[in-house]
Amino acid sequence: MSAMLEARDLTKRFGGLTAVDHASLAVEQGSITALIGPNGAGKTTFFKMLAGEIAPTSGEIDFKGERINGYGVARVSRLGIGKSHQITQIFPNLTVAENVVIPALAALRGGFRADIFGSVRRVGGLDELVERTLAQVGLLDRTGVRAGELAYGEKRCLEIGLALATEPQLLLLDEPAAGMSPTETAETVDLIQRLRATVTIVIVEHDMDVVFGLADNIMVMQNGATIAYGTPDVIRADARVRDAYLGGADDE
Amino acid sequence: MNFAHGGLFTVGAYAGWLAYTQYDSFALGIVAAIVVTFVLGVVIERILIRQYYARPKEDQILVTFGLGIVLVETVRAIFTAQNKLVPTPPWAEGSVQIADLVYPQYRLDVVGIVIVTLAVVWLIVFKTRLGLIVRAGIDDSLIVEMLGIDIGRAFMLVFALGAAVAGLAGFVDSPILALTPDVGTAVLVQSFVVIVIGGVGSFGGAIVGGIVAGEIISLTSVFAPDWAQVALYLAMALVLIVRPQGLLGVVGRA
Amino acid sequence: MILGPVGDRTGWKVEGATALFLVLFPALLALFGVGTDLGTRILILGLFGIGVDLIFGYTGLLSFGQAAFYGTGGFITANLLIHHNVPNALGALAIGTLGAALAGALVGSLALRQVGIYFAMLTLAFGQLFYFLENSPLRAYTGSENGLPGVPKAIFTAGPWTLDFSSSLGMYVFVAMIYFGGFFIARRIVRSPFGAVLRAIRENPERALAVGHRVPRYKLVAFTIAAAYGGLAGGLLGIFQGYMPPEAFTIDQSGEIIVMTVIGGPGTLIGPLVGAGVWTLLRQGLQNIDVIAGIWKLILGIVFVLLITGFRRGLVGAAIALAGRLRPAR
Repeated sequence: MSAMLEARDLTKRFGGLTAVDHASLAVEQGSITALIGPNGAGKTTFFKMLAGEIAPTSGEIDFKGERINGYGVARVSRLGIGKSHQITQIFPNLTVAENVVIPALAALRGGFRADIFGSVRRVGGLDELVERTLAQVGLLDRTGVRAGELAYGEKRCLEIGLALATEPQLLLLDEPAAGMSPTETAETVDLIQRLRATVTIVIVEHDMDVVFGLADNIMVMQNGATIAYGTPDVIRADARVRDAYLGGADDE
Repeated sequence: MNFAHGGLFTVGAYAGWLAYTQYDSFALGIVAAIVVTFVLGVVIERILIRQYYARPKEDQILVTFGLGIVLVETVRAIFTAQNKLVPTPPWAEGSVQIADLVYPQYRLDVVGIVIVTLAVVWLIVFKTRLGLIVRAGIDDSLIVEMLGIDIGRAFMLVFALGAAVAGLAGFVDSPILALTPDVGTAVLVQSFVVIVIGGVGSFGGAIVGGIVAGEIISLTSVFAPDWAQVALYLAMALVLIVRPQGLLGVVGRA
Repeated sequence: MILGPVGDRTGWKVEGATALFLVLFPALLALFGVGTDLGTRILILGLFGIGVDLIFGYTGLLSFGQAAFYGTGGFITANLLIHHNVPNALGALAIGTLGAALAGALVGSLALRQVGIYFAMLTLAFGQLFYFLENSPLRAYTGSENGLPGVPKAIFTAGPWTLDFSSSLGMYVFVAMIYFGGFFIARRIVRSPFGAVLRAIRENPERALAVGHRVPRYKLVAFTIAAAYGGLAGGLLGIFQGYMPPEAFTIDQSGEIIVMTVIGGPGTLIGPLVGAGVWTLLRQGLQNIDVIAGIWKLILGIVFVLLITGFRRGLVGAAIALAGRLRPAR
């Protein structure tokens, strides 16, 4: 079986700095893959390339057999790769429901339509998608609240909701639990467990309990390169990983 | 560069003109233009602009635009809308012949003043602690503040410095232009065009853009005077299509 | 139903209230001894401002070049009517509006390559391009600094019937009907899925793009629609005055419509009308007081700066906020 997403020899240079250096990753459909590594290892840059936010300097990305480098973030999103960001990126002056409507509109009615006399209520399936998404991220009782007024943890949930409402087949989660309380983190882990039935997931996360509890496969990056890849057991046993990361003082 | 610079240009021109004609000293005019607009810059930044650093870009544009109106209208209220004649200083009268071209002496002196000003600004931005703080502060103001540096003061000084340069420009330009309260607005738009042609955020680009713009206007004035101004803006459109970052601009700086 | 009417729970009340206001406005003005013509002028600016509000209040695009489209629409309409190229005012207005929209698409496709202050600078520069085009190369069609006099009034004939809007009140009725049409359409636009995406772009353009919307296209279409509103308003100005003034193309005109929109309240559609009313009536009032006749613009400038600093959502925005605060206490 061929991989759903395959990134080969991805490299990104910013001027003289090589942020990602020939990193490769294959993601099987239905799996959860975690990306870990010390700060500055190039995880976020690698992620941005997968989502089409930045173009790789060299290397290839195939998604469902289609070469997607250079597609740009909007087109990648419409193809089925959704991303939730490390730094919350919501629409602060829209209500929670309206926030989720925006990605849902892209999923249901495409990248652009000049339906200037249309009605939001007549977009087929919108209501169901928005309601399902809000229920998934636990914001069903907050629909009318201005998103900017949400508590921090709620904003993080909405952030994931925005990615989910694009109806992705592959979901990229960049530190979803960053700054969350232990309760919220546990809820987020539950959410991800439930999502794996329908969505393939790649996650960048610092919380090792989250990573080892969820992931089928783990990729370890250091200085822009992949230093290890395998199941959680393999990674735990890997001496290089222990040196570079797990045993290091860098853990946060 | 902001939308209040047109108004500051006007204020500098009138402040300089007042000092120059009262005391018959061009140098005093320069000092007055710089000091008045610098102080005005400090006051504006302290009272108004500082509230806007955390607000959306559009709000910053709106408030500087509004300030421009207030400055120009204040000048109009004090000095009336009538043209003021700013005489060329006696030491800069006459003209100079360079090869086959005859240039008014004053225009060459202005070039000199501009070069000196550019050099001073360049030194401040790239060679002093102040410039370093501001450039770092634009990238990451939190870190700079954590280092215990008063970034608010640095931003204020830079804003005031920008105001003073606009004021100085207004004064040295006034013997060439007819001095009216609206003089700044026209210059403001032209300098935007120069920036777009030369390249946003590029020191050298602004100079090259200025030269290119000047050439376009004077050349078209000879062949098709009706089109002189239009040609300048068409050139800007062409630059946008062919080289959106401007002639000397770097991709990603805009 | 989780959605409700997204973004707006006012139903048709706003349209109804606006229609009622338009009917009563001349009488209200008369109460204060102000002529109907001033009301017509306010409506024309209010219509122009709807376009500005669509791009600024809803999409977050601050353009300082809208006079280009006001002038373009105005001079196309005026030329068509003066030379009797089209049978009546509505046809001329339609073509003028279309011409302005085309100009908008052209300018937008270039200026929208930049964002923030550089976008604002570019629109200002393109506004000047149109001003200088009007001023010199195209003076045969624009009359340069003299403008175009002799624009015919709106009179429609069909067989034995004649509909004559040339009186002062008739002109008001004509402009008010078109204003209402423009307002009605704009309300539909902001409540459509298209409008929802525009607001998302205003709030966070990067995220709107990241969830899959082709943001540049939305911006361009919004900009083109705004230009069309400007063109329609410009055409009405020429018909209303019987004269198309070159000032329609100036920077001052571009700036004033921004100021009116911000004073009235961006993101409300009705805000620009309120702002235009405040601006026009204050100007009229201040000019009648001897001491401050010369500084009316200074006073309005100060009011403008204070409003953006303290009252970011303008008069209408403040009124809506106040009404919202009063409601729970009921």
